[in-house]
Amino acid sequence: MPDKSGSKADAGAAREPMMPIDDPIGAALRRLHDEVVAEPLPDDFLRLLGEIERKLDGTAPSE
Amino acid sequence: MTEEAPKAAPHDDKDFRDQLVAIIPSLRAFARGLCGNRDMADDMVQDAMTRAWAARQSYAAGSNFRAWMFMILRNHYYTTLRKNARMVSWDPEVAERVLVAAPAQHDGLNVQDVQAALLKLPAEQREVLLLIGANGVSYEEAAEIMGCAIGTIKSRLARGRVALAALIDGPALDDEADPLKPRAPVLTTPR
Repeated sequence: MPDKSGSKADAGAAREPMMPIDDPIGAALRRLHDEVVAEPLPDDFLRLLGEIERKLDGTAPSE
Repeated sequence: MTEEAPKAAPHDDKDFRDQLVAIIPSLRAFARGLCGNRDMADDMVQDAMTRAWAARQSYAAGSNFRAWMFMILRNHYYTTLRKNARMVSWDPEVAERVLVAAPAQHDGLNVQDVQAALLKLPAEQREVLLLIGANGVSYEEAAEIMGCAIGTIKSRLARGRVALAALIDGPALDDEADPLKPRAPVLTTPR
C-alpha cells in the first residue's frame, strides 16, 4: 500500500523530465496506453453514460 | 485529497458528465495496466465512474478532475485487490499474446512483453510507471493521486524502470537483491 512518508517540499521536482522521449521503456508504455485509448468504447460504458444522461434529463430508464 | 474531501463548489452536472466521458479512455488504460485483465479493468472503471457520479457534489469544480478520478479508481483497485489477492495474476488473453503471437517489435521492445512484465512488478511500481510513463501525468499529480511525496514517486519510478527492464531483458529479478518481490506469478509456458 502507499506509504505517506517523506516530505512534499520537493515539489519543484515535478518540472523535471519524467521519462526521456527516446526511452524505449517509456515508448512501450505509451504504446500500451495508446492502444487502449484508441479502442472503441464498449457497450457497457455507453449504457452507463446513457443512465447518467437520463438522470441529467430527469427521465426514467426505458427498461 | 480524498474521494469525499473536496468541498462543494457550484458546478454543472453536464460539465461533470462531459469530463467523465473525456477521461474514460485514460482510466481504461490505467486500469488495464494495473490488473492486466480487460473485463476486470472495465468493470473497475465503471464502478469508479458510478462512485464519482454519486460523489460529484463533493468534487470541487476547477480542481484537478483527472487526479480526482484516478484516485477514485486507484482506491477501488486496492480495495478490490485486498478482497481478492489473486486478482493481479494470470490473464489468459495476455498470456496467449505473449506466448503465441509473433512479437510486435517497436524500437527493440515487444509491447506484449512490457505488458506481461508490468504484471510481475509490485503494484506501487506498476502504477507509477503507468501514471507517469504511460499516461504522462506529472510527478506532482502522481503524488496527489497516490497520496505520497514526490520523492517517493521518483524513487518508485526509478526502481520500477530498472525492474521492468530487468524483467524484459533477462531472468526474473533476484528477490535477495530487490526486497520488493513481484506479487504476481511469473508467466511461463504451461507444460
